[in-house]
Amino acid sequence: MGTDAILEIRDLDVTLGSSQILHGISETIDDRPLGLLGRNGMGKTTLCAAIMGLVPVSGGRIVFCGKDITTFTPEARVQAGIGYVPQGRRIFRSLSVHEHLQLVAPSNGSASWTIERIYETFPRLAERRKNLGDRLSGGEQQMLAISRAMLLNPTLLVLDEPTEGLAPAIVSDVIDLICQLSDDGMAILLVEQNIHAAFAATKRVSVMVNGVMVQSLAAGELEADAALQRKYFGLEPGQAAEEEESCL
Amino acid sequence: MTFFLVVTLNGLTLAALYFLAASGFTLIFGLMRTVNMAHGALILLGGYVGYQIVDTTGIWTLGVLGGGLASAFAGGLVQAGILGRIQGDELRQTLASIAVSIVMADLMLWHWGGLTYQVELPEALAGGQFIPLLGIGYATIRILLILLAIVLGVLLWLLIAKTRLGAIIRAGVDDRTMLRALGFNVARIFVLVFALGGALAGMAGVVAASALSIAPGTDLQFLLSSLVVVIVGGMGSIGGAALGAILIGLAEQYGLAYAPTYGVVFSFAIMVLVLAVRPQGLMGRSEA
Repeated sequence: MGTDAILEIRDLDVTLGSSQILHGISETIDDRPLGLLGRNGMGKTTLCAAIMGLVPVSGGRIVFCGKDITTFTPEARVQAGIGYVPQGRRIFRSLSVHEHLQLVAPSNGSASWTIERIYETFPRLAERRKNLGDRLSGGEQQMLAISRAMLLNPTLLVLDEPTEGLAPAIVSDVIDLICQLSDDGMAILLVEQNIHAAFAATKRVSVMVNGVMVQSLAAGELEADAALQRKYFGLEPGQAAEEEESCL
Repeated sequence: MTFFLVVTLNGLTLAALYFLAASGFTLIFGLMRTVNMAHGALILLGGYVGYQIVDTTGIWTLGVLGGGLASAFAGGLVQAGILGRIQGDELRQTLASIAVSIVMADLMLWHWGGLTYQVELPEALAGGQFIPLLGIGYATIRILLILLAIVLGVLLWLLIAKTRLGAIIRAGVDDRTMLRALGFNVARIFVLVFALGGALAGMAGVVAASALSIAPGTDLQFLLSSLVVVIVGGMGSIGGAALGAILIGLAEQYGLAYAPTYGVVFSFAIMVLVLAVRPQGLMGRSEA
């Protein structure tokens, strides 16, 4: 595996309204999957939105495959090769499964992911191809949200909490899929609150606290260090995260 | 009985006209959340241009298409040049579209004057038709108007439900931001849909100028009726526009025929009732 930077974020500031959400974030993503961890409200979703160009950036730069994309529109970033699986899945409720896939299906036959291959990979989606987006279970919606981004055949896939609200069996399906995509050579940014999912899918993790990137380390290292986990994610079991991240 | 049938047909004719006018309005609102107050001006522009074309060439169909094309172009221009630049700021867009409608109305007054125009109908449409089923005669243009509304409604439905553009429009109505994050140039789609809404408005204008007549002020009349129709039917829903148009068209005609003094109250009474019971409109979706 090479370590050429695919996405480079340098000193990124994001201010929404009167409050600064991200403070000088720097991070480099290569072809090894990166897990981005942090409690709710720490700015993880805002960082994803900034990478996609969905929120205005007030300072710093984003460089993708050697190109400065800081001022690119969201659609130009997608065309440059960034795929996005947003938090909450954001499936179009009035489109059927098949219409979702048709919307983004590659026009050239040589693309790695095609609708046929998606249906082979997710037989469940093939069964439900005529169902509308809001008639799917959470797991099916997540598979569809990931498929929708995969069909763009992106260089980098940004996944924002893909395991949120899913049954454990489905969580492990999602993790297997992310591992497979990474093995196929797709760069992965996996944002998670579920630290165990991130440990299973990535080798490297970074931790965000209050809009600041505080530490980057090997996933195994953090997994083994209970004290560090308590420091960063120190919620006692059962204590719900208090506020929703919102930036869109 | 004949009287009732004629009034009903008149109501349906009016409903057809209202539907043609409101469908473009609701399409634009559904996708972009833009309350396009210049919609009436687009209708009037289409009517004038259609009149001009029919007056010169004598071909009615050409007038309808030309009027649609002119308003499609004007609508696309308004979105690309003005409203698109303040996308996402709905209040400012609404105010800007009011400004556009005033400027357009004055320009049209300058060019076409304050006269009332009526598009001359071709031989085939000018007379009446005997409807055997109902046992009455009825103006051919009005029957055509009802058919035209049905055909355009079905075409519009097919476009939205069956085509790729329709899927993109539906996706945009559901979640514009996500559509951008999938690589779609939403700004360009907005211009396209605005032009489509303009085309519907323009054609409605020519048809209105044929079945009735147009003059300065017609724009506001149609803007008002479009607003009432989509508020009753549900903002953004084509089916809702059809239902709203039928309700308002019939209410106005029945009111005019059976209770002339209070005729105008009926359509607003329906609107108030709908707003009280189902604020999102009869076929509208509540905001999730």
